[in-house]
Amino acid sequence: MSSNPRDSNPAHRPPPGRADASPADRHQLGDRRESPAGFEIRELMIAYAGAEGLTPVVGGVSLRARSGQITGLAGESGSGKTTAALSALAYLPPGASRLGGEALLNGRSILDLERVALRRLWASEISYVAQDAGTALNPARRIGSQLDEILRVNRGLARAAARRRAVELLEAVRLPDAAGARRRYPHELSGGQLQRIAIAMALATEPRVIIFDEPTTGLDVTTSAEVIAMLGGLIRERGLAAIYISHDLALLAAISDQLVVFYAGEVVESGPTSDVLRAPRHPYTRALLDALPSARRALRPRGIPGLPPGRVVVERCSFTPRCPHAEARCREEHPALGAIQPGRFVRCVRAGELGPLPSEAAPILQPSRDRPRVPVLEVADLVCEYGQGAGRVVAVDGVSLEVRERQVVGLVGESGSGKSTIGRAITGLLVPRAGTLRWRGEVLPAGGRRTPAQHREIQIIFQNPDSSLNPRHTVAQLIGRAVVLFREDVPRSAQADLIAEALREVQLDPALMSRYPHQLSGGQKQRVAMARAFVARPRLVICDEIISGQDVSVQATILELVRTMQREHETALLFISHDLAVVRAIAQYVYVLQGGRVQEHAATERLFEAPAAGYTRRLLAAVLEPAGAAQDHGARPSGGGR
Amino acid sequence: MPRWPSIAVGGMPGRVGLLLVVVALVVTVTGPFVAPFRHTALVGPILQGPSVTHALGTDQLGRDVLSRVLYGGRSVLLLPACAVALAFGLGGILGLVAGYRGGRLDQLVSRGADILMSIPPLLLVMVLVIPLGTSDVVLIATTGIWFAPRIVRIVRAATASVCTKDYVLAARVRGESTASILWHEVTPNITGTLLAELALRLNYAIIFITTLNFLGLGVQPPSSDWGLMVSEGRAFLGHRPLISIVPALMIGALAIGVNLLSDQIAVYLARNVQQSSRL
Repeated sequence: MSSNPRDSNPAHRPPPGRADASPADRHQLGDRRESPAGFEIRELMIAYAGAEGLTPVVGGVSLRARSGQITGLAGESGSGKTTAALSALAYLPPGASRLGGEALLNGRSILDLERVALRRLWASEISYVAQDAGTALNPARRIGSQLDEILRVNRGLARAAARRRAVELLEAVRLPDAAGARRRYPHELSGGQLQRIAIAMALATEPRVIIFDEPTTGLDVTTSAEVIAMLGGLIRERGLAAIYISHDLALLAAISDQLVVFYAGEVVESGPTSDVLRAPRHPYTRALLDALPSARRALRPRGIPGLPPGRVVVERCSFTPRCPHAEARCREEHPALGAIQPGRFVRCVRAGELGPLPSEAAPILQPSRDRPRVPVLEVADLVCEYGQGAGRVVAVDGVSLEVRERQVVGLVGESGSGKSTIGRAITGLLVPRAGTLRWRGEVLPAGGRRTPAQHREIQIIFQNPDSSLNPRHTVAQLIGRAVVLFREDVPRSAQADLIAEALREVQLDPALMSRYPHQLSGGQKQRVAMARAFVARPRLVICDEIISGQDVSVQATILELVRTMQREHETALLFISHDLAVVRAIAQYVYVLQGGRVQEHAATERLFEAPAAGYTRRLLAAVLEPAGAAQDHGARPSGGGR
Repeated sequence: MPRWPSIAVGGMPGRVGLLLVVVALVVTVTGPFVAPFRHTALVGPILQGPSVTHALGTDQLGRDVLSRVLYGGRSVLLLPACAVALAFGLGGILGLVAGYRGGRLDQLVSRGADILMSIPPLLLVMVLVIPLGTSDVVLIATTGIWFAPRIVRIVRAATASVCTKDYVLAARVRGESTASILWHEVTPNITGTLLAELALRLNYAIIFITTLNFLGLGVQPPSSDWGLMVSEGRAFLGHRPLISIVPALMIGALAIGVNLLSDQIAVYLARNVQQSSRL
């Protein structure tokens, strides 16, 4: 049998405009009166109504979440994965409408139910866990009262029974001191604890389907690993059909049984998670894997050029503009989702001839031994505190570190480790309690004062460009301010050219100059922030979590870009991150921080290959990585079992 | 750059607001030139109904009501505008600095504002107007002082929330001066709040000053003023209602117009920033 389904089945060409109503999808449903346990989406089509008419964002998606399993939905933001999952629960985002398709819960169609029946269904059989549990909980009410309410209203339990059940649920999500947590308010609990409570609330109604929308994004590596291990156990134990939405393939590799990769509102590849990740057949899946940085191997992540179209593309293969394997026929027809083996589907006309796609991630080159470098920044015994009196918090407790000329130094630690505080103390935003900062041999005044030259030489790029770019300034104004302040060498008449040049350097079109930040994508905004930092011709750029919050594909491109800029400008970088893999991909020397102290510091290779401190080893062990990313290393972190 | 005309054209309320404000402005500015008589001239028998010579009739002293309406907008429009400008000048600067600097200065400014706010406005008027008289300057100063602490509070809160944003930190790392940070980074981001507050205060000021005029603590007879006219004409409301109703309508039109227009501007400014891409 040919591996290209269209060749074997020419009679079933998809009708125009319904590109996904292919026979393959029906195969994938696979059931044909098989046991209907679980949640199933059939040829769901969703469109947004906008100024220019209907924009299709989900195009004929079919997938199945079996009971007792976790089905992972992967894809960049804008790939339609969340819209598809929410719409399948009849929970359409504002402005969206369903053009076709259905969703079945244990064989029963739910999308055409009356409002009242639907509410009953939401209250009992379907649950949803959002990304940010902190905002899902009412800050003015105790955890116990919020949890009891669900049990009493939805399960009809009496007060005492509800209380008992609530404690059981909190124990089930392995919240330490479950009874005590009932009396707490949300602000008294940590992010990881809140996320566990959100999961307990989702379980309270004893649902059959539960949808997780990136529930561990924003949690620390170790916390996230614990929550995920707990989740996997709960779902299998209780026989829930779980859909887990994430852009993080490493996470999905660890937790999901089935993996569905979304691109431009369609399924481009699906199958058992281990198969898909070990032998990806769609170039997009491969690209997503290659974009992942690795903490275990010295591989350079590869970015995916371009942006996803943000809508369903029917006239050609939607991935063509970004695909390294695209040919003429990819631009002429829209491929159908075809079976390559039972339970394994790919939407690519070349899937048959290309076979499993090998990794294209290149190893990180060891820096050649070059001239000895002079330290530009020396931090000695730095102590920083927040607050006063009893509420005093020591954020940095005696940290010493050194950044040499043209060196990339990684500063890695979990939240609360004091890593960002160090960056702030160096820039003068924060007055340290004790310790000395030396900049090119000169002591930086403790009061935070800096000379104009120092302001120019030490630049900082913040994590979130939505916050670091003034929304009322255009791109030209944003970069122009740095030009006016720091580039006296450039005459007024040449300033516009310099701004254009700075934009080109970060691979942005100078035509974007007149745009406001809200008119740019997340990755573009961060590039503007980079251009603003580098246009000053700094000697040290502090990168404070500059790629977290971005899509994996964007992360890799920004990482590549910052590295290139660093080399070309011959600046030093202090790269602050919570992500070990990212630090390994970029840094030459790494400091590991915990609780405001340096636990270990060493050259990158040594630190990752032979970690000395117990804390570093624990952090490394908690890092999730897909096993299929390369040929070696078969071990997967716990929680993935099949 | 904002396209100004599109702000008002954006919606019906904005258009109506613009129209009302323009009408009130035109009446006030051109009124004295087109008025058939001087506003203080005794031109006919008292309390006449509308006629060809006196379109709105005459008042209790035989003055032409239309002429008095045309002359009477000056203090209603000019005094509140000056008072609000004074309040925003004082309160805005104090609020910006307090919100940005925080700490001791913030405590001092905020508590000072609290103390001023605890004084009832009419008490303030009595304290200032009774010894100093009812000149325009006193009226403006009184209203300005009454409003300033409220502006301080609002600007301080808006500034403090903007100052948590990284772009303010980024400006500090660039070594920008405080004045430059407040002007370039903070002010553009609190404009929406400021405009909404400006309109509200303008409204209150119009009503407050007309109230003072009505109570006889403001503009004095024989000057013509809409608030004063409402007050003087109220005795004849049953017999010659136009004497007080027409100036009352003018006050209402101005107040409603300012409100509608400012709402529209605030919506426009908010939309300009918050347009987020879908998906």
